[in-house]
Amino acid sequence: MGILDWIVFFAFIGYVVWDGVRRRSGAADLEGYYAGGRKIPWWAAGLSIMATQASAITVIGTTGQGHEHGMRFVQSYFGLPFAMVLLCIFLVPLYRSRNVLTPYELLEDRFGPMSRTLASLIFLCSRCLALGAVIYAPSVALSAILGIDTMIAVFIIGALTTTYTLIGGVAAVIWTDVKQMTVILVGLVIVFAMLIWDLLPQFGSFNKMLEVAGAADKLGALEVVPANDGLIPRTHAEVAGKIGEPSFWEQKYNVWAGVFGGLFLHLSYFGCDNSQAQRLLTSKNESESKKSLLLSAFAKVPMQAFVLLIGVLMWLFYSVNEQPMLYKAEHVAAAQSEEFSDQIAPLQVAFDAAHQERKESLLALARAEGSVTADPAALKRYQDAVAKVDETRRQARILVHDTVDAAGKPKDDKDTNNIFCQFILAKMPPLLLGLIIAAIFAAAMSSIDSVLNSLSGATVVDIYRRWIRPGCSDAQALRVGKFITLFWGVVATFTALFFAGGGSIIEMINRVGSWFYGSLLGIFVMALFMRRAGDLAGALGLLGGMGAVLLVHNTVKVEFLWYNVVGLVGVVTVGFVTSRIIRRR
Amino acid sequence: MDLGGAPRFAYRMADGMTQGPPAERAPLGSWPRLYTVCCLAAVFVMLLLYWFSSHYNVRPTAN
Repeated sequence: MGILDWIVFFAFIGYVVWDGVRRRSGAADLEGYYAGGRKIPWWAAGLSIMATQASAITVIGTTGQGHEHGMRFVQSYFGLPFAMVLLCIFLVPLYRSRNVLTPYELLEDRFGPMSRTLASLIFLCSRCLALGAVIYAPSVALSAILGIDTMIAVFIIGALTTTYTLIGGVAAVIWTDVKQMTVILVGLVIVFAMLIWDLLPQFGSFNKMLEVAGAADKLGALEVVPANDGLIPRTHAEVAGKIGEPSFWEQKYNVWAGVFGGLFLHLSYFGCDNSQAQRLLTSKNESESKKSLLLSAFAKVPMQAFVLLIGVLMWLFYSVNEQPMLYKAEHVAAAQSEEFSDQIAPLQVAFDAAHQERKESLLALARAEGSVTADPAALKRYQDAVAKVDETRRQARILVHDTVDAAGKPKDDKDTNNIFCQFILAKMPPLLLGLIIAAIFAAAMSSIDSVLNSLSGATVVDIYRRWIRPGCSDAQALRVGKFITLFWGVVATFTALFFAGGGSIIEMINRVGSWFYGSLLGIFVMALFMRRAGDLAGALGLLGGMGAVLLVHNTVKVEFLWYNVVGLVGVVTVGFVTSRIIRRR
Repeated sequence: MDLGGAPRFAYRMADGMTQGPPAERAPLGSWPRLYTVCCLAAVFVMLLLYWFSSHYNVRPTAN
C-alpha cells in the first residue's frame, strides 16, 4: 500500500470512529442507547439493516463464492423479499405495539418470563458463536494486505468498533452503517468497473465475457430442477458409506431451497435476531419500520447477484492473466518450505499447464464467431481445462494443509475468502486500493457494531434488568449497558483470536445461525397464532425446537437452510402439544 | 408485572384488531399494494435470473 492508500484508509476509519463517538449526546438514556430515541429515519435504518447483513463477508466471502462456484449462491436470497413482506404484515405491528427495547420483551407479555429469557439466551448464544467469524474475516484481509499478524488485525478492528459502539449506542451504529454501506457500494462498483475495463479488450464485449464464463458453468443463477430429487433424507452412515442417491435436502443451491429454506432463514434473521430486529424499534413509527425492511426486499437480491458477478469476472480475469495456485499466505509459505517444496513442484507444473490450456481454449471460444456452444469439441476442451485447474488447486491445498478429517480423509482447506484480497492487492491502482480496503473495514465494522449493541441490549434488558436488578434506574441500566458492550467487544475479539475458519465464512455464519433461528421464529409464530399457549408451552416449545434441530443434525444429512424449518416445526409442535396437555389438566 | 401472559395483543395483531394511532400513509397508496409490488418485483428478478442462466450457462458435459 502506498502513502495515498494509507491516507484514504486512515481518513475513513478516523471519520467513522469520530462520527460514531459524536452521537453520544443521543445515547444519554436507555431508549436513546438501544433504540436511537425512536427518531431514526426509515432509509437510514434500512441501509443499516443492509450494512449489518452485508459485513465484510459480502465483500470478501461472496466474491470468493462467485470466483469458485459461480452465481448459484444468489438463490439462497430468493426467500428474502417474501420474508420481508411477511414480517411487515405480522411482526412489525407486534413490535411497534409497545415501546420495547428488544423483541423478546414482548414474549413475556404474551407467554411469561421463561419464554422471554430462553429466547433471549438463544439469541445471545447464536450471536456469540458467530461473533468471532465476523471479526476474523476482515482481519484475514487486513493481515494479508498490511503484512501484519492476524491477531493484531483482530485487535484493531475489535477495539475501534467497540469504542464507538460503546460511546454512541445504536444511533452511532446506524449512522456509521449508512456511511459504511455507501463506501461498500462505491468500492464494489469501482472493482466491477476495473474488471470490465481490463477484460473488455480481450473479449470484445460484455456479452462475450458472460458467454465464456457461462460455458464454465459460472452463471447458473437459478436452478429449477434440483440435481437430486429424492425426498427421503440419507443417514450420516449412508452418506459416509456412499449408500443410495443424495436426497433433495442435501442440495444447498436450487430455487426451492432458496425460496422456502431461505424464506424461513430470513424470517428468523430479520424478524427475531435482535441485531436486525432492533432496527425495527428505532424508527419513529410502524410505517417507517416497514419501509426500512422493504428497502432490503427490493435491493438485496440484485445486490447479491451483482457481488457474485464481480467474483465471476475476477475468475475470468485470472483465467486470462497469471493466477496463483494458492491464495492463502500460510499455504504459500508451506509450499515454499522444505517439507512440501518437492511435492508441490509437480503440482505447480501441472497447474501452469492446465492454466495455459484454459487460457488458450477460453480465448479461442471468445474469438470464435457465434455461440460458444457451436463447436462442441472446443467447448469440451475448455471445460476439461477448467476442471483440471480446479482439481490441481484442490490437490495443492490438501497437500500443504496436511490434515485429515474425523473420517481420516485428507482435508481441503479452502481459500475462498482470500481470493478477493489477493486480487485487489495485485491489481488495484493506488488510492483505489485504500478505498477498497476501507470498504472491507467498513463492512466489518458495520456488522460488528450492530451485534455488539444488540447483544448488550438483550443482556441488559432481558437478563440484568429482568432478573439481576429488577428495580434499577435507567441511568444505572445504561451504565451497565455500556460496560456490557465493552464486555461483548472483548469477548468478540478473543473469540476471533481463536477462530480459524476454513471454507466460506458467509456459509459458516448462516450455518451457525440456522441452528438457532428456526426456534426463535417458532416462538414468535406461537405468539401470533397460538392463543392458548402459556409460558410453559412457549419455553418447552423453544427447547423442543432446539432439540429437533439437534436430532436432525445428528441423524440425517440435511443442508443447513432447512434447519430453520425443522426448528420452527419443532417449536410449534412441542408448544401446541404442551398447551393441549396443560389445558386438559 | 404480568407473569402469566395475560395481555394477548399478539394474536390481535395478526387478526388486525389493534386500535393503534392512525398509521402514516403507505407508499403507492396502500400497504397491500406495496407488498404486491414487492413480491412481483422479486418474481421478476427471479425470472430475469432464470433467463440469464438459461441463456448463458452451460453445464459441463459428462466425460
